[in-house]
Amino acid sequence: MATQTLDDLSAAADADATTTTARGEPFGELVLRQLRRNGVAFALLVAFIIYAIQASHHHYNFLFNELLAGLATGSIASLSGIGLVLTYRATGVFNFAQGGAATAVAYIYFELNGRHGWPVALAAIVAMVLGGPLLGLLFEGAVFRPLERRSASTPEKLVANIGVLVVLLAIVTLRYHQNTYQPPSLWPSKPIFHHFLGTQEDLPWETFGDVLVVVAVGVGLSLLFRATKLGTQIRAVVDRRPLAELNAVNANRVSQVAWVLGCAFAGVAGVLYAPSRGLGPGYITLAVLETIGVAVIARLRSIPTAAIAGLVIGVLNTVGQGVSGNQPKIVTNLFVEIFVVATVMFLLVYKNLDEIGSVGSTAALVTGSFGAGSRNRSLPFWGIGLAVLAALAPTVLSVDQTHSLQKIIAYTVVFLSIAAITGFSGHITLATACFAGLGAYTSARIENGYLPWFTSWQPLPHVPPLLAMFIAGLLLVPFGVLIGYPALRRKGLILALLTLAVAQVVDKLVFQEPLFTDRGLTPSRPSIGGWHFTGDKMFTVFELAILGLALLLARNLRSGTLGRALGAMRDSENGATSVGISLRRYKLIIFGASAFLSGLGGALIAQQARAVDLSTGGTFSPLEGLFWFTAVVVGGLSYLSGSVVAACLFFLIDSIIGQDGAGLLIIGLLATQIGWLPGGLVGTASRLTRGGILRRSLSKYVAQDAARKAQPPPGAGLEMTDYARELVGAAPAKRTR
Amino acid sequence: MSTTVDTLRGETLTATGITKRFGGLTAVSDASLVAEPGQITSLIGPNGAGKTTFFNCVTGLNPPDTGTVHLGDRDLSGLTPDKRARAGMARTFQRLEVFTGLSVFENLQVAVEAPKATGVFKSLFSLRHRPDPVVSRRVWDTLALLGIDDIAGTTAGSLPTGLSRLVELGRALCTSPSVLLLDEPASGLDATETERLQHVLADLAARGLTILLVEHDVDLVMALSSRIYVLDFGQLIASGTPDEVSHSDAVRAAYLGTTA
Repeated sequence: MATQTLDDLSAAADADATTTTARGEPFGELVLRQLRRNGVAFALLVAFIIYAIQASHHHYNFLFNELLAGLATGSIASLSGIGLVLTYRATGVFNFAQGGAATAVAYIYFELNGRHGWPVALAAIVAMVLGGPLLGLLFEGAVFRPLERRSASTPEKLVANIGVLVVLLAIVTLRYHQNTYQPPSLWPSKPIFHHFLGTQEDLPWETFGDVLVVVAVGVGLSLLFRATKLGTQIRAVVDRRPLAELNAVNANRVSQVAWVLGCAFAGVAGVLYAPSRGLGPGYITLAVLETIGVAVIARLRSIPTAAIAGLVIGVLNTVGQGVSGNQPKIVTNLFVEIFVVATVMFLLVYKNLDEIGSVGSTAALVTGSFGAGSRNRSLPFWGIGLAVLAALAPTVLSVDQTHSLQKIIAYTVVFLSIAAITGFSGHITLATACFAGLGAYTSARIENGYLPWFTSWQPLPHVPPLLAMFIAGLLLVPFGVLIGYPALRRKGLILALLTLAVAQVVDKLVFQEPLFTDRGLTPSRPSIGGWHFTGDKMFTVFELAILGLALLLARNLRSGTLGRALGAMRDSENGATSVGISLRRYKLIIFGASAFLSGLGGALIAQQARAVDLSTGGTFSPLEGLFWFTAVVVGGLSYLSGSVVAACLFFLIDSIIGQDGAGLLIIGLLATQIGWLPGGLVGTASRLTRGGILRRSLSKYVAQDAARKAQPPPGAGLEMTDYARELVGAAPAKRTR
Repeated sequence: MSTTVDTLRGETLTATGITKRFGGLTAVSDASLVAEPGQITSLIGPNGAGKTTFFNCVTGLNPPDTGTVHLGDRDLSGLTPDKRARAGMARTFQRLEVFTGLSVFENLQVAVEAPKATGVFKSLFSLRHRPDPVVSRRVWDTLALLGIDDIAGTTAGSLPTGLSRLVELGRALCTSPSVLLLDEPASGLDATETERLQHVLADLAARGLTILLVEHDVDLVMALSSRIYVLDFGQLIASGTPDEVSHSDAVRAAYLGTTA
């Protein structure tokens, strides 16, 4: 820990040195340096301006109005992005739960106004001023301060944070179910200015009001930063946390304030988004998750950059849509979804972000012993289990129970792909729902004779469902390998963000695009020879067979030659290369294999539901992917049975309690406390059952180590003197150990 | 006979003109070194002299800006670390890089298996994992050589530093290396363990392995080395037999901080 801090400090000192020389350089060189650093962004902006000018057949006033609308969208995004950067810099936690906080505050506004009849203004102000900050205080006190106190690893914080998001969304689901609401606009419907600034256009209150609120918050923030001691301390921590701590800044207090501010900003964004986006499962959360791009462009570091980036993307968003109106729909869509498109582009350009602390391996989440004993047992164990289930399921279970079991089996296949890529090989990827969705989509399309992707062309013959699902799985392998390429150089948070952004892009540009999804999405259940697996009972048997294959694959990714190599890569990439393991080869293998598994599982989910649900916030939404990830971590990332437990948590609790969202709530709560459950539920259970024996057999080494540590360590100074004396030929000082 | 020791074939490691810069800082400047088979060659120097950087340049973990690395007559410059490892270059790390989630046995097993990668499909769909008796024999022999066969089943992440260093050394030996680069193998070891390590290293060298050692334990370096290179501020300031080096004015100056 101490060396870590010193490294950070020296890195900070280096950075200072370069900035100081940079300030002294002539303006021309400064511009050149900035161009080199942000060249891609500049080039894109210039290209866009040229494009907008030549493509624009519109009236100047129209563009002007689009510009204003863009500023409104952009300012909300800026606000949310600033909240993300602020929280990240001050606390070291990238706040995925920001979307949850925004959603919760938006629902508070709706509850006060819609259910309790408070006036719009009062409800909005109470929600924004009290709701967000109180949530922030709660998060900090209940989840993140304990984590900080235990100096938890980065992946652990990430999981706890996603856990908070899951808890918030579960609470919303429990109270409001899957309903959608349309809260009233905060602003009067009439325009604030007619013929604004002499143009033909009116300026609506909507635009003006949103910008006004964001400007007010911005002014408040800058007053806090410039005029108060606390503000100075926050800026110090945001800038260089270790240096600030050395200067007796109370980092805990600053963390608390950062959580409060971050959640307050999220709340304001949520309330402002609510009237236009609507309130429904995940709507606001997805809108706020889009603004991750703003924080990414600022490299998770600079608040001013985040502010500007939000505005620029907002303007590109509306003006781009305006000028590309007569272009192919794909071009327009790129502008509609520019927030997520930009996120992916910048994450691909940046090799690293300004990450705090260690990038972190997933070791903290994984405490499974991959030892010889469990490996030899596992396959017969699973084989017998599946066979017994297959024999019992069709006879004993009721219809509803059979449906639950079918869902559990199909989701287990997908969850195994998460366990394989994160638990067995150490990559945090959040794109599993996207792969499962693509699997379901591709399989259904192939089955119905369509080209797999991107057209409504139907030139092929119908393909049997079983074959279609395997073709779909195989077609996903290159896609998985493609995602694997950036992962050759990226780990930890940046990979998590990249995969989440890819999932968002696919969701927005493919799943939500009627052009691609209006036809051919009716999966049927397989028949092989005279065997029809269409009825509920036979389909369960079929699912069990696929699960058996998935378990075999996952088990070979966990143990055996391949599993050991992947485990080695997870635990230490340097160590793995030093014994001749090619990181490139194994990373591409695991990404390909995991994509295959998720695709297969996705197709199974669709066959079970007899539909491919690609709707916003539906089965394969990026948000759902976050839930799945959390469930598998809670179940046990490094065990095959962890995925089964995760799928059971996901469906059984809801059906036992009879409330949608109850399972999610429990999963989320467990995830926030993942530090107490190393290795998830399965890991903890197995540790409790054999911990005693293990500890006894280890005790002598632990005792040796403690004895050695009790002696004064050979400090650098002491050793150097000794060393020097030796070298100059003086009598060697006998070292006593 | 031990499978570990029998398969050792040392080759000459030649690093020529290695230079590595980090921004404005030149960590290693035009450093050249030859390590002969059957000998232990040591690289010493004050903290921050660039020893570990030099190691990383040689093993390819942190490719040098200029300079070449040869093993025997093969040019390894520009290869990735895993290719260099498969060409016969094995190393240990100053900051431990054991596979914490695997057992000690598996840590070594991975190293034996790494060069002979089986087909992807075969390993993805294999029904039984038959333990390869040749691999197992090799791992057990290495564990016995280092005296750590009693902890074969322990998860490596739960071991104290000293034992973890031995696991790393065992792992390196399991790759069938022709040259062994050891980055402070004795730090964190107690007296008995250090003594055992000394015997093991001397034995390995006597059987023809090339060993390059970075170490702070001067007793160990002086006792084992045939040749010592001294690095200071990224530059080689002296080289020679232990006797020559310990009487060199430049070395005294570097360590005592006086200008010669």
